[in-house]
Amino acid sequence: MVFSRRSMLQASACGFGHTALMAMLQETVRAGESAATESPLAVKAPHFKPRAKQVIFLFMHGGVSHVDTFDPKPKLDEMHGQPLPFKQPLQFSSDLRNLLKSPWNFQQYGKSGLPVSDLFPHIAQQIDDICLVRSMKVEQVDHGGAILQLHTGSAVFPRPSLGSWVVYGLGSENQDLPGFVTLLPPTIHGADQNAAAGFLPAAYQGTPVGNALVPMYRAQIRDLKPAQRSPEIQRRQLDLIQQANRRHRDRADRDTRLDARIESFELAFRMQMSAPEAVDLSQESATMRESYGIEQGPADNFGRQCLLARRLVERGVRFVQCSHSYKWDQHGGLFAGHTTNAKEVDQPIAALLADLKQRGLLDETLVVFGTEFGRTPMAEGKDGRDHNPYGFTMWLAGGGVKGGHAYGATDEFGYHAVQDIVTMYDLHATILHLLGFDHERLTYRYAGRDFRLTDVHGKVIQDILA
Amino acid sequence: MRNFLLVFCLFLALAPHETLVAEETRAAKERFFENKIRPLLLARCVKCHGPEEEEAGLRLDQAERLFRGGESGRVVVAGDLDKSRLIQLVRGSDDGTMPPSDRLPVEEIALLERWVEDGAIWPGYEGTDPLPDKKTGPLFSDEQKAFWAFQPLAVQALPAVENSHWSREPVDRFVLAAQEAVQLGPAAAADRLIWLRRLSFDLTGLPPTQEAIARFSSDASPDAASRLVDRLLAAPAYGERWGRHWLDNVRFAESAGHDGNNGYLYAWRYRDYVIDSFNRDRPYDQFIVEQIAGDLLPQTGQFERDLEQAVATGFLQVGPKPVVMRDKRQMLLDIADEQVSTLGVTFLAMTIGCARCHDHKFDPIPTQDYYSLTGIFTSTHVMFDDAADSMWIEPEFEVPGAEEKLRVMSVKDFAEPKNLAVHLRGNYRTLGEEAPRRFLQILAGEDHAPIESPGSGRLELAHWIATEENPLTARVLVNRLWQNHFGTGIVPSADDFGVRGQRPTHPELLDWLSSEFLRRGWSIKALHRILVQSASYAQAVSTGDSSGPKIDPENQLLWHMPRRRLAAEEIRDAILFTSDTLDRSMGGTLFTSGYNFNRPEVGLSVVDIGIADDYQPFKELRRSIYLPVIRNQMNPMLTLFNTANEHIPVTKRAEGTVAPQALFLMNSRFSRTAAWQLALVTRKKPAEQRIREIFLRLLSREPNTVEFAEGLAYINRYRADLGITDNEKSVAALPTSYANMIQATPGLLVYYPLHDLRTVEGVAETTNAVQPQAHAGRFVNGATFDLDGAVAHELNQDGQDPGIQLNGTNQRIQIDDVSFLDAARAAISVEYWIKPNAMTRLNYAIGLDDLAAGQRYWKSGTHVVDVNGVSRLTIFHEVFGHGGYRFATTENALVELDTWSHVVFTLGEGHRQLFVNGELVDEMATAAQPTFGTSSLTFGSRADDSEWLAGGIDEVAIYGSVLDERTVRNHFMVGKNRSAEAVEPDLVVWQSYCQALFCMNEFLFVE
Repeated sequence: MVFSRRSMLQASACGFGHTALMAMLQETVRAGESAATESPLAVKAPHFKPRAKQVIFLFMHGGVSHVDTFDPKPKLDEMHGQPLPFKQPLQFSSDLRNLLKSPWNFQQYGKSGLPVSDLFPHIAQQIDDICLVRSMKVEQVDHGGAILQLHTGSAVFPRPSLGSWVVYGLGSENQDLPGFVTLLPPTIHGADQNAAAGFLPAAYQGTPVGNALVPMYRAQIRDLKPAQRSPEIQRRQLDLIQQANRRHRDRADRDTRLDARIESFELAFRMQMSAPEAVDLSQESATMRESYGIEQGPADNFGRQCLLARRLVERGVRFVQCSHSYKWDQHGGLFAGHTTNAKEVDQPIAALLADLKQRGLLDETLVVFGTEFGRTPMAEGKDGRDHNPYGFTMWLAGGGVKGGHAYGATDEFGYHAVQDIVTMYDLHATILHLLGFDHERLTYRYAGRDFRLTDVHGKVIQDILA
Repeated sequence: MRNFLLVFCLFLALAPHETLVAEETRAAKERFFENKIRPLLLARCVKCHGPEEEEAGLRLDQAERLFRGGESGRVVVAGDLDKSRLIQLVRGSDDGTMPPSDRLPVEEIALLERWVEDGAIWPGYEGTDPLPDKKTGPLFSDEQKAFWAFQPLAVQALPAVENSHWSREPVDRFVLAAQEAVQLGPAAAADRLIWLRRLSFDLTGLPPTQEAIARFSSDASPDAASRLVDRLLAAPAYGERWGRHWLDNVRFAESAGHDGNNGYLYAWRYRDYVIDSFNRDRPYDQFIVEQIAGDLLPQTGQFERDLEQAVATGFLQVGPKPVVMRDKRQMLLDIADEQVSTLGVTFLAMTIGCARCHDHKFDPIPTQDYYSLTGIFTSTHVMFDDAADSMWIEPEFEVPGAEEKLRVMSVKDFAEPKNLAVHLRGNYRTLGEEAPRRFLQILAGEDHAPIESPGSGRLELAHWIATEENPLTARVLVNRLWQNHFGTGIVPSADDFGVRGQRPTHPELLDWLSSEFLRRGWSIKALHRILVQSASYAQAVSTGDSSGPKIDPENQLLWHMPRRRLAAEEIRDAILFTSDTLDRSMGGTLFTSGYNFNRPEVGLSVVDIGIADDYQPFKELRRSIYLPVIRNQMNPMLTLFNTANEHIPVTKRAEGTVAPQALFLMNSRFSRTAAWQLALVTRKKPAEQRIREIFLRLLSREPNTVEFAEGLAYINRYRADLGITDNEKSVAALPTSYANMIQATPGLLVYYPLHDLRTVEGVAETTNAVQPQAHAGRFVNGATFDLDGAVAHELNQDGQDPGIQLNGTNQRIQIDDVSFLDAARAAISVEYWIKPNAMTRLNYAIGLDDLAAGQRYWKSGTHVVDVNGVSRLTIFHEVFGHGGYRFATTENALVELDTWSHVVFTLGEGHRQLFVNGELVDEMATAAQPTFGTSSLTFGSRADDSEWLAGGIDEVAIYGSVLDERTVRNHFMVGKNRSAEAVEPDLVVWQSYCQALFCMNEFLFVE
């Protein structure tokens, strides 16, 4: 047989042919290879009836300006160019100047009539499914600390990520895919730490698909592409491995670690089969891809992430993070920067919400739009805004939250959260609550202490629950 | 007590009837409190100052807490409205208003005022003074003092045992006695080769070589085992293995973590010091003192010794540091806290850090002790070395006989050390009483004197830890050694010897070993000898039909050896080692790229290695301990196999089994390349011997008949798939390498296999005859080798296949003498491989022009195109005056970022053509023929620096003819990564087989 590179590429471009692998997999199962140990990803019941089954976390890395997007402040128009009338708290930049009005107009949308700026015309159309939390407040002035706190609850200590806690608590609906997938994760500001399982078992680690430095169309799960030239040969190689491993196991006294490793090879083999199908966006119709902005210019990259996120949750992946990294940090050039950024995410996010809704998935999928902090009402330099952790906006949609609702408020300048303040602990407690957990009881014993995502803090925000 | 006396005295002073009146009044006031004040406090204050939250450390739901006050002191002073902060705050003051959201109604404020004026009576509480601290009398209870870990080492006699034959070392008597007490017996001795593999991995982190296996198998002398132990302990690899254990203990990494992740450029010297210390068997007490206070030891005048002492204190520096924290005072306190916490776990297995905000909840460590120790470290500089213009303390050393100075990472004492005051609730704004710098009182005694010396106190602290009188120091170290040989420590919680930790399973053994350790002068190697030559260590993993599983399912009594999964570093090192690709050079740093010394926008030196999978130092073939350890950007492979968490001291690795590990072993480039190498180095042997050798290399044993049969069946079936009938013949018929194939291609004029180039004073030399010396290229502006070359498996002598890496500005290789092109007047083909690493609109890879004559002839490179709204890369080729700039946007013409692609463009024989990755993607008819001047051929940038390449270029060949499509495709296929099978298909078969063995549990575990 003459080997043709092209045939090999065809065979391996999306992993192996789905049907051939499925057939072989079934053969293996018939041959009596049983799952010897309980998978750490097995489905587990939460504490009470959940409102959401899975989470899509849309992470806007850099700090989205709330006063230019979801939290309009007419006072800024009024006092544009004047100094802030009270003492400003600790800031990141040393070049903070006078109040800066938003360069964008706000309009009211939907039945709720909630205002959204012109930056997000698509998301605005979905506002009746969105619950704005306009009173977020954190302590961290710098990205690294604030981002770690957003992802893990702790700005200082290495702790498990929110996604890891969720999969630890609930397991995964799909045993052939990782339970926690993070698309194009950041490579700075805590980098891997943001999706790490910490002291939780490694199975709850976020599995990265590419990272922030590669475009989505060529992002991959590490080592997923089969090394062997055909599925038959890979299966034969695996059989050779597993025969030896089973003999080795049977020689020894029972050691669950040996069983677990045998099982892990089968799972890896199944992942090679399932993941390429799951991540293959060409299986979606051209109209669907277009609606997400794929191959439509600036929205392509994030559109691919959002569509993939939908495909993954559809297949039972518990927690998917899409990262828009690291774009939103407009210390200068606010207008140009936020305009470009919004064009990249607005259409994809709106399409995701509409698509989930149309499929009946929005009810059971919690979508979280998050950023590490907001931006100051004053200008930094000529045309930028500095970090503002003291008051900013995040939003949630679907999965048991009130749509068309705004919770909490900042002061008239948008500087400090003043009404119904929400800390990151509160937000995490609320997310866990929606998934059916009492955040005080979802614990893991490590180094002699019961740890939880919310440490010793956190209150569920009752008012935003549908 | 004072309070009680006061009340008592008042009582005596009152006449009987007055007492009665007073009681009546008090009853009225108590009713007033119950009816008015308690409900008010509950409704208005307790939400934030109560059981759920203790804002500002204050609770208003309990009398003793209300009267004690909060972080800013007392809040109620009976009868004195002005001094009662509670009243000030509800009235509203500069300090703020309480409650923060809604002001109290005036009438409620009046109620509170009346209550305070009337003496602030709270039923059940005598008076209004805060209760004295409950701690009076002795600091520690008898029970705390009697805790096992704080007792001096007890002299232990060897216990009597029934089985008098089994023991080889005294430790065995303790192990056996404990087993016999519950009618258990030890497992049989392990097979000799299994013991050899176990010992070899345990001591050096590497499997035995074939030679070692043969030597040990045939050595029947009684001291064969002890000579082997000596040899392994003397091997440099010993320090690399045990140094790694120590680096886990001290949370070694080469960047600060947190936001800035600033680099520790000289941390590697500390790592090398650790490896060296283990190899020299530096006495442990000395090792401790040097790490805590080496810089304070007397200077010896010997350069290397003095250097070493300074380097050793890297221990204090290599932890995580929150450098970007705005509050610098808090930052320095956090750094000192990190040092104290690490020191506690590393040397004493005590969680001292838990006493930062309150007395340790379980162990006898008062908060004051915590601040006594922390004061030592806040009196030690770690940051901002103005003299050296550096983030960290990095003193320079003059190297004798050399001009260059050498820099190390160290620490420096304050000129005027200062005690800290206790920080109430860990907050430096609320200070308690002063904590004189001294040691833990539970160990050093409540009456021990504070440090008086003019220094920070580190030297005293170091000596206090490294003393035989400290009962924890030896026990903790001995326990860790035991754990690393036997899987579980005698104290299973090796990082916590406190109350919450576990108790020793063999307390007498722990004390005997610790005493022996001290008796042998703190020699770690002496301890190894005792442990690995014991009968306990020689036991098999398998237990036969022992009653052990019923009596002692957790094997606490060590009635068999546990199976150990190799650590991440061992797996990586063993894969490289068994395929003969491990680079054994020791020491030094690979942490040079990815370290940005000067990032002006942040004003700091910052580490950013980009995509960790592509980070060059992670691809080096050195032992894993020498790869950079960068917080938050760890080596993905090592992380996958549970390397130590780089943020905290780790005494025991986690062990996870996840599918991505299987994917790594089955599919990663690392695993494939090593398997290829293993196939390559064993290729000269017939199949059966080859299987045998692979087994010996990987599993340290011979294959049995079943394994032979399975292996051969696998090999032969795969060969049949590939149509290999006679392997030897099939090899002979094919070109043996990409280079040979290019050189055998008709029309070849010049060939620059860049992996062959060496620079001699800026001139590229090559051993390849196809490139005449006269046409040698010049390296201009410092172009460097990209170790990841285009043509995989075409390795140079160093086992690498480099291309040329260019900086995207002005670097290039320039060939000024292009007279060889005379032979290309009728037709030309230019062939090259390119790996673009930027989406640059015009990425210049190669071109010919004559600057002096102002003439340009042709060029080629990558170009950015918009395909359906997405930016993609394609290849352009330009022939000036004959069709100009051309490129295609069809899918097969597009190339990937960071991936090697093959390009051929031709001119002559009536057309221009462009081939990308073996396929013809662009063609135009033209009668033009090549023209050229007298110079220059450039790769990487134009000779006038006006256009440039970001990325790599390799394997450039120029022909005086038009290559046909079949030849082009053949070149591409042979050159492309896995098409090496076109060169020697049988290697692919063996690669697959070797890789299967990397995946076997028997390889990944030691028994």
